[in-house]
Amino acid sequence: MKCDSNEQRPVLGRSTRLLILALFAGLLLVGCGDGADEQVDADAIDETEDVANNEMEAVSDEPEAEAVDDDAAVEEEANGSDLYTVVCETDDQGRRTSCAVDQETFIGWRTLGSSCAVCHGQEAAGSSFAPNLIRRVTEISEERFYEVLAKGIQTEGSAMPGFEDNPNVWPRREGIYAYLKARANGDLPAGRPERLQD
Amino acid sequence: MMTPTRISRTTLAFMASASMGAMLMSGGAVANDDVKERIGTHVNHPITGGDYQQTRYSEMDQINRDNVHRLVPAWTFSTGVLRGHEGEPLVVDGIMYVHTPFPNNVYAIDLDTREIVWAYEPSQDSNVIGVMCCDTVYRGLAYGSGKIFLQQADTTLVALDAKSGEEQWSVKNGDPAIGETNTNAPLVAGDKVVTGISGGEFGVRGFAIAYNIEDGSLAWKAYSTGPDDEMLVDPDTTTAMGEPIGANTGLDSWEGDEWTRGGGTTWGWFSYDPDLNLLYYGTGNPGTWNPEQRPGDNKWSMTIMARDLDTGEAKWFYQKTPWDQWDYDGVNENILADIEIDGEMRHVMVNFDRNGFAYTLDRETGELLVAEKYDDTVNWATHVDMETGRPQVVDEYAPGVQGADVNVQGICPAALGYKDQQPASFSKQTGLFYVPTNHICMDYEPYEVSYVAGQPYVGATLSMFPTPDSFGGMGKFIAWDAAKGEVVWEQEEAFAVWAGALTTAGGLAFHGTLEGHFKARDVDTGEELWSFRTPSGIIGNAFTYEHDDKQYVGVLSGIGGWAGIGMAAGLEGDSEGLGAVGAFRGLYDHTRLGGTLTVFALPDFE
Ligand code: HEC
Repeated sequence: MKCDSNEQRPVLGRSTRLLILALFAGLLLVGCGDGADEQVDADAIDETEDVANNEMEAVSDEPEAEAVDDDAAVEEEANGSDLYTVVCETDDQGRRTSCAVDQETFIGWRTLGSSCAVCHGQEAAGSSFAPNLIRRVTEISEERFYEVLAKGIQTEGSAMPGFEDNPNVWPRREGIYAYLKARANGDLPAGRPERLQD
Repeated sequence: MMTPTRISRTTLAFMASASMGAMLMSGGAVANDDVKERIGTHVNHPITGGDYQQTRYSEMDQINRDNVHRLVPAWTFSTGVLRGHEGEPLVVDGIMYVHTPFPNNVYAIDLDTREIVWAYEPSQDSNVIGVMCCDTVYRGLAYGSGKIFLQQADTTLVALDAKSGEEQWSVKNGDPAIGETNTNAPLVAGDKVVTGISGGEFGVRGFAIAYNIEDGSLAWKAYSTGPDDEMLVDPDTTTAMGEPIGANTGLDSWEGDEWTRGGGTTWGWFSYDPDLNLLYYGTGNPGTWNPEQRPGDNKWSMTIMARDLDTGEAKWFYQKTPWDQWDYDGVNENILADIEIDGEMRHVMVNFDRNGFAYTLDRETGELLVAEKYDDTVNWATHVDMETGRPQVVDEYAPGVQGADVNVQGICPAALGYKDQQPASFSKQTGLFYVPTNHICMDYEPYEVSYVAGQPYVGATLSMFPTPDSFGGMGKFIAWDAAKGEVVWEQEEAFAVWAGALTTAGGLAFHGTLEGHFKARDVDTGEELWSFRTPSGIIGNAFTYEHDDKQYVGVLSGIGGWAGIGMAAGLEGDSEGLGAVGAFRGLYDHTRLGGTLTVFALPDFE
């Protein structure tokens, strides 16, 4: 995952590829990250990548997907400006029931849970104490995000700590940003994502 | 600065019954009679919890089941602070003392004129906010010897003249740079003011500390972990489950030096038995939320402690959750009551722990009498072994057993506990306990974390959701029989009941809700007899007092606290969500921030 450019990425202008893939439901990842499940993840990804080469641009074209295999679950892959990779399984209503993300984005999600949720709420969805970060990352630049994360903000009655010296957060900042962007872009629903094998 | 008069210096006779440790104080214990003589009077509410026993029960019955439907607001007061408002004001000699969350202002309000007599608005470094887990709450003041004691978030304990608000003395009992803060209400008992420390999510090493109320000089400091001398433990006379605890258990039950960042913080409530001269409180979670990094029982985190008030020496301990794997902080209040068990009158303490068990112990000896689930959906343990006192852990729901990087699903209760800081009440009229509870479960995934002073030391990620396969709500208000260990009745609530209860001889139980309703229930049935929509969600405690022969009931509203963080999140796309998150409902449909005191009374007209 690359976050080396500091350019702002407007939501609408993002170059996200959405792909509909057909895979056997039985292969899909729903486990708790033990070895067996991760092996399955890896298989799923290989197949994903194969199909991805076809560059199918079929965002919500379910009939086409079904045409591939009637018994198949539907899977989408989103790749937000190279920030993250999300692969989702959907049910027959088109709702995503399980999603897997790249390792760094997964660690980002986890870090949010342990280092940010005490103030920003579960899934960083906002609390009575601190703002919804999913919304906030669409409003502030990437530059600003890292600046705030490094230095914090002091305001009357509330405060955002700086994390640049925190070994649990600072090395994982790109994953945090990637997770928030994936949520903000609608590529990933709330809840615990699974891990893709890189 | 000199204190004005009002200092009562009667030596108390209860010294004799304090078996632990000789009175180390020169001149013996100087009792602070002016708290004692005001407790139990209707016109005063001189102590958080209403009395030393923390019963939150009042003999007043002017407002009762027959007329409570006529209750109306008598007056209100905006605190000017937006954050979560826990605790309750004090009432002493016609003056009400209202505290606020950070910046911890104090307002003294004349109950005749309802004007502000004095205000104390400390200036604190706002850096302290960043090291306060879960909102900048503050649970209340203490009164004694003509002084109001304010425990600021930045760990400064200030004594203010109750009449003028002038500062008498101040001390610092911690250092926010290493994550030490305060949220607890101090307790005044005898000639001591006792306080604790917060920072369990920052690797703080917890302690209780007592100062002499006259001048703020240190009386004693007792750590929750570490070597015996720093814990004020005597390996031969301090007991647990009736046996001497032995040498250096606070070191040997840890791997390496993990005890130095081993939590056991003391941010909950203190209670006190004047006859035994024993102080009671609980200790919090053992540092990091990743249990793999701290194998062992992690003594004495998660423990009820009984200590001699004058010396701090430990009389007995009871560890509720050895080797915590769930963040079941053991700091909830210990309510002292005398109840009949198996035909015998027992002097007990009752504790509704975060872990979902309610414990009844003999408060003199620490003997475990009852340990039962107060919500039958508790699944992390099957039961408590009454011989060893240990919970029988179910491996399937034990993140430490499953290991790091495993997401353990469907653990009940959640880290918030089936009850958190919101204190219960013991009705001397019914002999039952009235308990505001949560009904929330979690998925819990621990992982390796590094300690950095002053930075969160958590190492787990959690998802919380309403208890599955239940009624769908996230809280209950229950009546509990602590002799039998049984729920007598329960009333369901949509959100966690994060607000402290009050019971009265009028046959009423009062409590607030996160939506902002302040409710009166019938103590016998739980039936809701009256409710009023306050300006914000309630996490404060109901209290009552009398003024000019009229009974008042009041509560602070102001949503926030961990409840506001854990549950305020209005997740978008509720229909879509991976796992349990989709079930969450936002509080934002009901309420907004803002602190207000609302005081209710019966109207003067019929
Ligand atoms: C101690 C509480 C606390 C913690 C922990 C915390 N934050 Fe914040 N954060 C705040 C508060 C309060 C604000 C709002 C500050 C303001 O705008 O006044 C905020 C604002 C932000 C903003 C928005 C800045 C802007 O310009 O609007 C970002 C981004 C952010 N936080 C990221 C994070 C991340 C990422 C983490 C975890 C690594 C985190 N925060 C942890 C309290 C916290």
